[in-house]
Amino acid sequence: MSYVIVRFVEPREVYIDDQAQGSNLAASGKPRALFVGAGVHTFRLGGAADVDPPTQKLDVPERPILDPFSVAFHKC
Amino acid sequence: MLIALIRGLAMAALVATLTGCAAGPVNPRLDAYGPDGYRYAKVRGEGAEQELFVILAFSGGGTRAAAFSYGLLEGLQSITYRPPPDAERTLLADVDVISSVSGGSFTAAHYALFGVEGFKRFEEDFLYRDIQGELIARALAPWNWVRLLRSDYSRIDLAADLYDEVVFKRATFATLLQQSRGRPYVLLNATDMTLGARFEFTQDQFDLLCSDLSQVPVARAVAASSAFPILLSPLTLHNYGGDHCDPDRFLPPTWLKSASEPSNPPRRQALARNLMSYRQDLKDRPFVHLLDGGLADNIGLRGPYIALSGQDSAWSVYSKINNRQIRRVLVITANAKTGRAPGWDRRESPPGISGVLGLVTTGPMGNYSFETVQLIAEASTGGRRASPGRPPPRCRPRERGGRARVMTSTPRTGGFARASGATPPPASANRWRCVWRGSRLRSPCRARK
Repeated sequence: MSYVIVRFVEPREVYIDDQAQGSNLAASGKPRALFVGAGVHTFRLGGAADVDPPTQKLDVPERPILDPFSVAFHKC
Repeated sequence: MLIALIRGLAMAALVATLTGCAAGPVNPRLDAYGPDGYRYAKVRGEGAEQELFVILAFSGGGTRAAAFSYGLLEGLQSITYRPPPDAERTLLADVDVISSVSGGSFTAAHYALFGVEGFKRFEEDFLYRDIQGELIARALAPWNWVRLLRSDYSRIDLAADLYDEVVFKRATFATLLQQSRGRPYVLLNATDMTLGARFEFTQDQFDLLCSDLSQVPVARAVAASSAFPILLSPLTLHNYGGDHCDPDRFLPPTWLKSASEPSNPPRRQALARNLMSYRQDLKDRPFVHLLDGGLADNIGLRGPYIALSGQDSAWSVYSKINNRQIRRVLVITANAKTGRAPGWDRRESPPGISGVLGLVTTGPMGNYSFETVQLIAEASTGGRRASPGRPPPRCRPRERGGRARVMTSTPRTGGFARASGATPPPASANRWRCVWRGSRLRSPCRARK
């Protein structure tokens, strides 16, 4: 088990291996920690195609909730 | 008189042979890949899940396991609660997934097909019926001898035909899908003999074979799941991958492509390698031979474990928690393994041939059950808590991410007098069914006359 936060400036649907995981942000505006199985996964965001990079294939290590793995997307 | 008898037998054999030859393959080819078929999303649909996600796992153990898991269903039906703001409902109505092997697959498949309304029929058609005696009678019937000599018909086909006729009433997976409204998604698990790995009867798995599960009788899946080695022959499926299906049109799920990367944890890589072997070893694997699901996992929890430990499943529990579709997970295992010690160590003389045979045929099946339960508990808590005996922890919904606890409960089944593993008499089946009365769950057991 690993915890992952997906950073983006606005709320977007997160897709891990093309499966919807809910929003990247909580109602408070802070990033949500998502449950992810350790290993290689493909991350992307839903909504408008204004995200850089469009997808990221990353090897997610085991990480606790206090030190979650971070995946960053930027608005272009 | 003798000539007439021989003529009659020859005619019966000829009819049986011709009838058998007219039968198509067990699993037909898939015309085109698509989202239809027996899949979690089609069975449970949008909004079917409640805050509490309930998974049941039914172990192997012959009719004893079928009776035991049936008692669990009765127990869950007797528990009612009222989650605000909804109306009162039973815990059985909240069951989302049942994963089963061997004897437990009879109960799982029958409940998925016929629901609570079919409880009485299950008792009459299977639980208190001498199904094994009927199977032996069919095997000894002269008109089946010639069929059994054919290369494409064996004891497992005889068993599947019997189950199809008397227990599952000719239902196919298309029927199962049609009748699944409000009922759980069922994983009927067998063992792939070449891989020694779990093989589930779902369209997701059959996509890899380029085969259409919807036309396969449910009885075939149950027969494969309960094909005890040597007593029953393996069930053979056709693997059409790359034959007439265009392999380029098949798009494996994204998680399967990700899991195939060499940097993945070994267990994840092995899962992907096993699944992709149906596509990549086409020349070596035009057929797939299946045996009792208990050989790979006799507790029926390996499928749920994959769903509970990552995104590598069509019904990933992690994804559901992340999506806030569910907040709590309850896993109940009905493990029908007896706790009776064989008493071999009290004597100097070694166990006899029956004891050795019993051990080699059933011992390995239960070896991984304890580890599997621990894996499930650890996967759900990050390894911090693995305590089947502790009281259910309270779950507080949290803002960040989802939180879920998995409660595994394997009732103690020891302490009962010996119950036959194959075909217990009615009183014994009833006793196993009523085990749940002594556990935390109430079972509406009735004294059977």
